[in-house]
Amino acid sequence: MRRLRSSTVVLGGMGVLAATITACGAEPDRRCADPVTLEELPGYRCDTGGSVDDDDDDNGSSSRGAYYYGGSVSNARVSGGSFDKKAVDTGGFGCSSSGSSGG
Amino acid sequence: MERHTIEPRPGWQRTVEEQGLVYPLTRYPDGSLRPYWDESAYYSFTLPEVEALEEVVEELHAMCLAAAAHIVERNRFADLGITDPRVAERVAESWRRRAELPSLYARFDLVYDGTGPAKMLEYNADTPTSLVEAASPQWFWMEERFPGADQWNSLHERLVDAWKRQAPLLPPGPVHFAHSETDELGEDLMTVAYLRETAEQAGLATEALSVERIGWDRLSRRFVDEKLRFIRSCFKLYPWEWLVTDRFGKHVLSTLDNGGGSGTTCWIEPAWKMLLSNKALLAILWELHPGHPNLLPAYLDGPRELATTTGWAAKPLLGREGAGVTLHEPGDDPAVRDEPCCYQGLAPLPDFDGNRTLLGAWVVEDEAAGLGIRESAGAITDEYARFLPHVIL
Repeated sequence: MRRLRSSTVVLGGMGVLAATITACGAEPDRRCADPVTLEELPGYRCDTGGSVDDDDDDNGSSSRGAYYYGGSVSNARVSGGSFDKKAVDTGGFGCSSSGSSGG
Repeated sequence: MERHTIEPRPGWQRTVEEQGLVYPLTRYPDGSLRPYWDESAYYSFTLPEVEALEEVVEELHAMCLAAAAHIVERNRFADLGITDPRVAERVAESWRRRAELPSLYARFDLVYDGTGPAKMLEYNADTPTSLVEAASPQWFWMEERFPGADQWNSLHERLVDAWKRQAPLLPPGPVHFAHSETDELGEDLMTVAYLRETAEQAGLATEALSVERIGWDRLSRRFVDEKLRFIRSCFKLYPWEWLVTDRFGKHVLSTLDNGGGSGTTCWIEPAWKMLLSNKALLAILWELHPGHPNLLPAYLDGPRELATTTGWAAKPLLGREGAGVTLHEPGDDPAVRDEPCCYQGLAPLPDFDGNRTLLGAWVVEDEAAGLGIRESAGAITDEYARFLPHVIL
């Protein structure tokens, strides 16, 4: 016999999902990387406050790392993120309306 | 099709909340909260009635796709109020490449009273809501109240299957799910959370955020989420006409993945859904299929003969949830409104025990998938409508 209904409906805690969907405080992951070669570097190479290692002359300008936000590491190189968190602009959607977007 | 009253289940509010209807109440203008999920009554249908409606839905869906093709081929974007040539070009491309673009669901609003042909009021094909209650609490209500009965509702299974089937069309990385924070009633959030759940059940990796928090990385020139991860694909419960006219609209157009990795962000529903969610579609359908039993006469230049025959509804081309719709009796002044509207023959919602009933018939991918019924006190189904379950007996 033909049935027009779903045989089962399973929901895995959607209420929890709905509550967390707007959770605040999401900070991007960051990692230290060479701004020129995009190679991931140990964290101390990005430490600020400490002196820049003037004696490190193994590769001049790339001796100093910078924080790379977001993205991922593949073959020891960062990609898919950004060195400049300030380069990200937000609030470009959702300002033209009030009320429901659905219908 | 009959309406029956029934005693609500004790603790129904908590029950439906646990079943995904996180916001089962509606706030009224006087500040009071009243049930949106209303199980003090239900509707029963016969199987032949539902099978006939299924056929109507699939025929209407096919007619709507043919109308979309017509709009693109004849370059009738201006009739839809789409005057920006870059937007028209992107929509046309999206339509031509639709086989490569993920597209999930849509909802027809139908006038039907159990007799006579169902009449199409409109097609919510871009940002349909009232999905959760139809897919989940309605199904569980039947399981509890009418065990072993049937219901026109394979929404959940079909949505999970649709994600599985369309997974190969998705770009790499998680699918982001975005709602708008401006909907304080929570309906949009709930709908997006539910769709995210169906994607997870299909085995997809997902992330969630609001459209307001979507970032634009000026260096990489790509959309990013709050953790600065690229947004490669995004289900948005946010109308296309806003997506392309907001401040980031130019970025949406310049980075649009319109199929096959042709850009860096793929939006779901796809851009061609703008052709269906626009009320001008109604007039184009009537032009292509004059006198069709499931259509109402509809025009873009004014009410024409409807001014003296049936009366008419004037619907802003891009209105949502009944906003801006005005109803006119025969003999009213057939004035054309200032904003672009569709003038559609008046088809009063049937009256069941003093309630005005509207059928929401769901389409998942290209097939009829289920039914959700909303009742309202007045002639227009608005944000104060109530949802009632149904069963096939």
